[in-house]
Amino acid sequence: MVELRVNGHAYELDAPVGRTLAEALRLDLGLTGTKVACGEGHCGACTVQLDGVPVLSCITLLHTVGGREVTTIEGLAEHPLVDAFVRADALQCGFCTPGQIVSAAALVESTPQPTSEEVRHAMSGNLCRCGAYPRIEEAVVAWRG
Amino acid sequence: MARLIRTEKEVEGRYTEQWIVVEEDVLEQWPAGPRGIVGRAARRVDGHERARGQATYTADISLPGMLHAAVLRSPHARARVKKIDLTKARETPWVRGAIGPDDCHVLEREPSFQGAPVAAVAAQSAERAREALDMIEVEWEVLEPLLDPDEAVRRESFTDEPRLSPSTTTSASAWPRSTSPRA
Repeated sequence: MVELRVNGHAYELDAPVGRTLAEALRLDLGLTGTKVACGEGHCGACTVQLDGVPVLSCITLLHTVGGREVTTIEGLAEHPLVDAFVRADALQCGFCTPGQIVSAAALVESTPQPTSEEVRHAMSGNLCRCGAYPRIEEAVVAWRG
Repeated sequence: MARLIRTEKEVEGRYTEQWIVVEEDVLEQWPAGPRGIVGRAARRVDGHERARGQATYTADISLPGMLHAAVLRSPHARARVKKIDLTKARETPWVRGAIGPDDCHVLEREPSFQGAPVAAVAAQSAERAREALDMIEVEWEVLEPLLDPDEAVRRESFTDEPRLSPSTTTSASAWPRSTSPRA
């Protein structure tokens, strides 16, 4: 049994050893906003925050996050970054976008006025196969509108 | 009134002169001034939905009784499946089905690239399906991959029937190439 908090709610999950955090979120809790693309920690689509720090949920085992606070895109639905991404037209297919926003939210929490360089550095683990990078950068730099 | 325009056509480094007929009718120009739609930014109708992770992608769909498939892919660039044994996979309790090259034309007995689909299993979860792939036993005959296009033409190794014009022959020298240097 694993106890964890997701977006402010407490959960107790009974999952087999080897269950990833991404599987637990998507399959057990139905939080499908967290996406799995590569499934092996290269692409960043599955990024969630663990106590405010971005982690790759597809290679994080559920049993290692007991007692921690997980923040997913569902918990950031009203974050100004969501509107910033839409304003800047920073998504095409949108599959990587939840992970992008989760990473960006952690960045602007610690660095409210990030430079382009800081955005590129902090978001380098989030791949976008549509190639929306220039606008993603633009969206995060101008996140407060 | 129609007129003739001379232009050039380039195919793989060969230039040919081309004459085309153009209708003379002049297009009516838009009046000057800002446009109502053209040239103006438009908000995406599904932007927020996607950015918030609320949009439903195929991987987010879960139906009652739905099975998940996993595909066994060729680890070799070119090989022949000498023997494939699906028995163990089929006998695994959580596996609902396993198929190989004999069961489906998409699954290849002679894969011609690394990653070509060879067999597939269906199970109750994606994880279980992936696990079951390990229970498929394949005996491979590893073959030399064909990497040179000219050699491919010489051996008439085509993925489809070649569409040739009547004057073209299948000899390798008859296939025009661009001017890029050849190894």
